[in-house]
Amino acid sequence: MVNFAPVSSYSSQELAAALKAGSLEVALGPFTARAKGEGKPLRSFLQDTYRDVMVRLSLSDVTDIALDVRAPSLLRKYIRPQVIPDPGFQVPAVPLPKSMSGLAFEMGLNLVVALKCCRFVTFHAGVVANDKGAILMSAESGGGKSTLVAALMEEGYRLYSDEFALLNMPDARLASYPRPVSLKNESIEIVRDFAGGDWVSPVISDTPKGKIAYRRARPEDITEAGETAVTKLVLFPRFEAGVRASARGLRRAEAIMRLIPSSTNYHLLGEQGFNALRKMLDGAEAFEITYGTTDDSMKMVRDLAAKVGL
Amino acid sequence: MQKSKVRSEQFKAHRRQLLRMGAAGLPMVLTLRASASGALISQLRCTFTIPNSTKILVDDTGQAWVGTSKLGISGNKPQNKNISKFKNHAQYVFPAGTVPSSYRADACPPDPCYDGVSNNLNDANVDSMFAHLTDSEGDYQATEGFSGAGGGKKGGSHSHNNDDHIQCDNHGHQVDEHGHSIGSNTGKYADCGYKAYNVSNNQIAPGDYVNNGSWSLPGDEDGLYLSLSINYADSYGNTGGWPGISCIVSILNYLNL
Amino acid sequence: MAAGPYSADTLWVAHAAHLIVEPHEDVSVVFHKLSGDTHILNFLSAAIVELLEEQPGTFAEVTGRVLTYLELDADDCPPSLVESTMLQLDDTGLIAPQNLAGSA
Repeated sequence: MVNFAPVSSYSSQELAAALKAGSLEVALGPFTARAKGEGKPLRSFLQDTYRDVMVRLSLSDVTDIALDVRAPSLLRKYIRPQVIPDPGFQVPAVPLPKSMSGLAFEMGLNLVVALKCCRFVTFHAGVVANDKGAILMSAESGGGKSTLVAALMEEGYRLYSDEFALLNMPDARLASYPRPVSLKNESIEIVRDFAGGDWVSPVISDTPKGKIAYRRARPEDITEAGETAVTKLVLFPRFEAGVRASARGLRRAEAIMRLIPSSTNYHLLGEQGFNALRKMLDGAEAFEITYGTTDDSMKMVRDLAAKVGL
Repeated sequence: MQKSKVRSEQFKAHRRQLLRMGAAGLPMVLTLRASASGALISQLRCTFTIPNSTKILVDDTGQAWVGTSKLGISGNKPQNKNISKFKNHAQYVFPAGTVPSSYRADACPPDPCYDGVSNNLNDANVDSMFAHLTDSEGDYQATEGFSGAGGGKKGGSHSHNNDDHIQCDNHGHQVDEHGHSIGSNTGKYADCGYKAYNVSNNQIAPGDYVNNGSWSLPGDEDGLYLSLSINYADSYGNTGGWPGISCIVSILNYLNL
Repeated sequence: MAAGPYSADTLWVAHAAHLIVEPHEDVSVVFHKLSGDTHILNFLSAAIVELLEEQPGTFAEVTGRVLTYLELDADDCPPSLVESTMLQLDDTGLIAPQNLAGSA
C-alpha cells in the first residue's frame, strides 16, 4: 500500500507522470479522487493551490471520483489547446484554454459532488466551523459567500467548504471538504489583503467569470478534514453595493424553503434527506443578511455567531 | 397545524387577506424543487461586456453586420452616409434570416427603380430556400438587357452579385454598393431598409435569460446580441473571438444536457 | 387543473402514512413519501389535508368542515377557493380521489 503525502513533497516530474498516467489519487475530506491530465498548467495549479493536500502517485484503491482534464477534441489538443473536465459523464462545462486547466479541475470536482454524490445532502453553500459548531452560508454566485468564508477563516474558523455543505444523513452533522476557496474579481484583492499574498493563488484572467484566484486551505483545515460539526448558524448572505447592513431572522419553514432549492441532490434522497435537513435545523438559527461591505458583513456575522454560542 | 384558538383580529385579518389572494389566483401550495441549479448556476452565472463602440446594423431581410466603425445612430436609425462604410468594415456578418423579425428594419417602399422587385430577400424567401433561389434566378434573367431606369419592371441592381454597383439615384432613391435599397432615405438618417442598435459596453449575464431549460430572450438590444451569439455559436462554437462566446457556449452546453 | 377526472361527488382523501407533516405557525412543511417532494402548505391547504386525513369528503363537505375548523365564513373563504386549492393538492399528490386510494 502506497502512503499519502502532501503534494508539496513530490517533484514536478513525479506529479506530471502520475497525472499523465491518471494515477494521482487525491484524498480530501470524505472523498478520494483520481486525477488525470497533461501539461504544466494543471500540475502547477495542484502544486500551488493543493500543496498541503494529501496525494499518492499510484492508485491503490477505488476512488469516489475519477476526473480527467482533457482536450475536448484532437484538434484542440494541439491547435489553440483547450481543456474540459471529464468526470465520466456529460457535464455542462465550457471548453477553456489549456492555461485554465486548474479552473477546469475545480469545475469538474464541483460537478461530480453536486450531481453524483448521494452519501450526503449537498447544499450549494460555504461552511466554516470551530469547536462549538458550524456556520452554513447559502448564497447564489455574487452573494459574497466565498469572501465571507475567507474572512471567517481569519477569525479562527476552520474551512469546511467554500462550495458545498455536506450534510451527513444519519447524524445531521456537516462534513468538512476543504477545497480551495474560489475568489472572483474584486474579492481577490480583498482576501489577499487580509489573508496575505502567500495564501492566494496567481490570478487566472479572462475566464467566463472574469478573474479568478483561489484562497488555499491551510494545513490545519486539511488535517482536520475528517471532523464533523453541528450547524449552529444558517446564513443567507446577499451583497448589494452601498446598502446598509441588516439581518433578518428567518422562521424555520422559511429556512427549509430556501435550503431545499439550494441543494443539488435533495430530490434523490427521499425521506432521509428531509429528516436530516429538519434535524440540522433543530439546533440552528437562520438569518438573511444584507450588506454592502465585507466589514459590515463580518460585524453582523460576529454578532450572530456570539448570539448562537459560537 | 394548530387547531385555532382565540385568534387576534390582526391574525384573522392576515388570514382573510391571504384568502383573498388565493381567490385571486395565488397558489395555496408551494412545491420545493431541489435542483442542481446551485452548482450549475455557477456555469450559468458568467457575464461579459460587449466591447466599446460595438454596433449592430440590421436590414429588412434579417441580415446583420456587427462592427465598431461610425454609424451615427439616432433612435435606431443609422446615418445614411455611414452605412456602406460600416458594412465594409464589419467584423462579423450574419446572413439574411438570422435576425428575429422584431429587430428588422421596414423594407423601403418600391420605386420606379425597384418596381416590384427588391434585391432584398423578403420573409417568404427566407422561409423557403427554393423559393428564394427561384426568385433570384428569375430576377437576374429578367434584368439582362436592362438599360435604364423607369422603363422596365426590373431594377438594375437585382443581381445577388455584389459587383453590380448601380447607383439608381436619378429618382432620388439610392442603393448602396451591395444593392440594398436605401429607398427614400434622402434625409440624414435611414427611415427604412436598415435599423441600428448600439450595444457598446453593455454588460450581459446570459444566464438571466434561461428559463426552464430554454432561452427566454429580452426584446431589447441585449436580446438581439444574444440571438446573434447563439447563431454564431451554432456555426463556430467557442472560436473566433466573438465577444462573450465562451460564456454563451457554456450555457448552450448546459441547455443541451 | 387536477391530476385526473373528478366531479362534484368525488370523495377526496389524504393518507397520513404517506406524509411527514411539520407544522409551523401558519404554514406546514409537508414531505410526500411517495413522490419525494416537499411542499409548503399555507393554513388553508394544510387544513384541507388534515381534514381529509381524518375523513374523506367531497368539495362541498370539505368546504363546510374547513369553515368550521378555521372559524371562517363563506365570504372569507368561498367554495370556489376550497375547490381550487383541493385541485392544487391533487396535482401534488397530497390528496386524491378515494377510488385511487393507493396513490395519495
